[in-house]
Amino acid sequence: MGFGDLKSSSGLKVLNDFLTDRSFIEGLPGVRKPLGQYGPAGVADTTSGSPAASKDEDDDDIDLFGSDEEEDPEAVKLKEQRLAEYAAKKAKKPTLIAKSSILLDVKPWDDETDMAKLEECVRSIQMDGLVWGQSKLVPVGYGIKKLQISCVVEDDKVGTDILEEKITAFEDYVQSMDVAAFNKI
Amino acid sequence: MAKEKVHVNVVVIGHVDSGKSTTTGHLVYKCGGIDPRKLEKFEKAAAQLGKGSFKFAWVLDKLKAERERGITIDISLLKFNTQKYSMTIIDAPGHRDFIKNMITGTSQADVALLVVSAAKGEFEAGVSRSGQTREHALLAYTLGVKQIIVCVNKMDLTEPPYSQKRYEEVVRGVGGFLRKIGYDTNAVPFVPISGWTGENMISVTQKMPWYQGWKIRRREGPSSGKTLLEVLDSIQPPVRTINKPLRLPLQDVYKIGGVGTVPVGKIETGVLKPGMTLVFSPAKLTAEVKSIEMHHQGLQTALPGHNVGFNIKNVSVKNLRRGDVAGNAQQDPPSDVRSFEAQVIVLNHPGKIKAGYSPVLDCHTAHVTCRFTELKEKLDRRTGKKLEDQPQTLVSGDAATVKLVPVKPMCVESFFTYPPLGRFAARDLKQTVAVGVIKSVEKDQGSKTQKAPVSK
Repeated sequence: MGFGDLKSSSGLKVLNDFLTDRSFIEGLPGVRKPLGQYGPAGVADTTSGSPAASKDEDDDDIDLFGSDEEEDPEAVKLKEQRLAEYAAKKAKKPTLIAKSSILLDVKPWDDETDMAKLEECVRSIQMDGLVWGQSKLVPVGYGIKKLQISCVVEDDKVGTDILEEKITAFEDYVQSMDVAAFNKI
Repeated sequence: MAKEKVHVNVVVIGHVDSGKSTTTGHLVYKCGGIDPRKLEKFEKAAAQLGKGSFKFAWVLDKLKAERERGITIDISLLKFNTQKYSMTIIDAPGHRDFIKNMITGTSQADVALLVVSAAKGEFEAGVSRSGQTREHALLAYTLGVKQIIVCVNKMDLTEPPYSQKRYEEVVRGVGGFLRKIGYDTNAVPFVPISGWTGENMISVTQKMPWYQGWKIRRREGPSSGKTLLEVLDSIQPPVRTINKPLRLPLQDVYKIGGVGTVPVGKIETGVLKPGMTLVFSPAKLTAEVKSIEMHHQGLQTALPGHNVGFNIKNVSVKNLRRGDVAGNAQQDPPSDVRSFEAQVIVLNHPGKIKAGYSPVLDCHTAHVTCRFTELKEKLDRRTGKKLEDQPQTLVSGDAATVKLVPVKPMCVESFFTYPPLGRFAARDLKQTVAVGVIKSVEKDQGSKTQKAPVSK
């Protein structure tokens, strides 16, 4: 998709809407692409380091995986055709929200920490894209128990860093947090 | 009771449309990984609703819905058994924090299962630059997951269905990029499957008569078979690290009334026994182990993989913390490092990394800021061959040998001697900017281990 004329307010609105839930225009970690067709006309493409960067230099600079294949034009054409068909098919499908299931170990300070209260603290954390699931107490040793609690997160909204920060903020109850399992849903 | 099976962790990687969740679900479903009572309930409901041949998909959907609500803990751990192994499957999410968890997490993958779709356009999209397949495969290789299995999935959706030509095209493509990453493709089994209909997963399909089976050559000897399940049984079991000196990174330290100080952590290598004298680094303390417990039961010998608590004499809880590493005082005791050399891959840095860059390193349970004091060599990721001496800067996608200096005392080891203590994620701006493996460490010789100050 393009964003239309970025000098007009309608074009800017399209871009703005696009960026409400994205932090950048194109690319996954480490795999940035030049703006190319996505960029507005008349704006220099600065994503590839130097404006005049040739395709090869692009690869050296940005492509995480290098490409030393010598592809013949026929194969390239076929590949592009398939990719285009895929993109068209994909556009029709409703986009699924990527979610993960995370199992957390939350550890108290000692065998006398009130585990019910600790769990209450953890469950009191509310965030957009976070759902708390089942939990249980798991014996560690010497009378210490840890809270094992599952949660479902939307990948784009909730990370393990923020969970750790919020959980360990209950410092009267929580000594540390570890991720015991992390799966795609 | 049957002899306990060897445990293997499998991480399933692949593009979002590769069908990896269906494939994972199918395996777990067919190999008895789902609670039988729950399965029976779902199957009965499916039959009543007339789902018949779609039963499997319907049950999977129900299970997914349960997982989504986080109802049962046990479903979040996908487990099943093969003839030889007890397996835990990690269905790799696209979540940006997953990579860090893969490095420092509690369940390190022993094997990677790469699922690629053979369906028209999907293969091309999956291995394109923006697909996550390459990144995950590269990380798996870099982090020491040297065994990889490739499932060429959705064979029922090729044009025409079960096309040998398409299969071979996909195998060539995947083989090419795996070789580029560094895998020896002679040792990589390729299996054409359908995770949806089950072809070649548990039993051999009749629909691909052209398929001769998979064959691999590796150092431990050749192996061959037809189905995915047979591939899983041919995995080389993880190397037991029981004969190495003890390394036990601490997760937590407790003070228990009537008992005293109890550190808790997972044994990565070696054994722990009562009576052993331990050295803690970087705490620079020694202490004797009085007793060990796991799940509230006393242990006389604790082995790698065991998550244990142990009681030590004469050390105050204040003098130990998460990130300290315990080892046997008599056998290569751990020590903090003045500096270390690592091979890093820059994954996701918005600008240029120069000497002096200081991200936070997550290595085992430690979390310490380290300075890139010297960019020594830029490397070819695949061959490890030097491309440039003393590069001025590094950008996303670069591999390099760098020298790092922790700003606070820290205990790490070379990946070669103690793998779990020799890999790290470098974090900055809430992202994993780089991953690395430690090539060598310069131990801090000046620091003499002291007797613990008596606290009570």
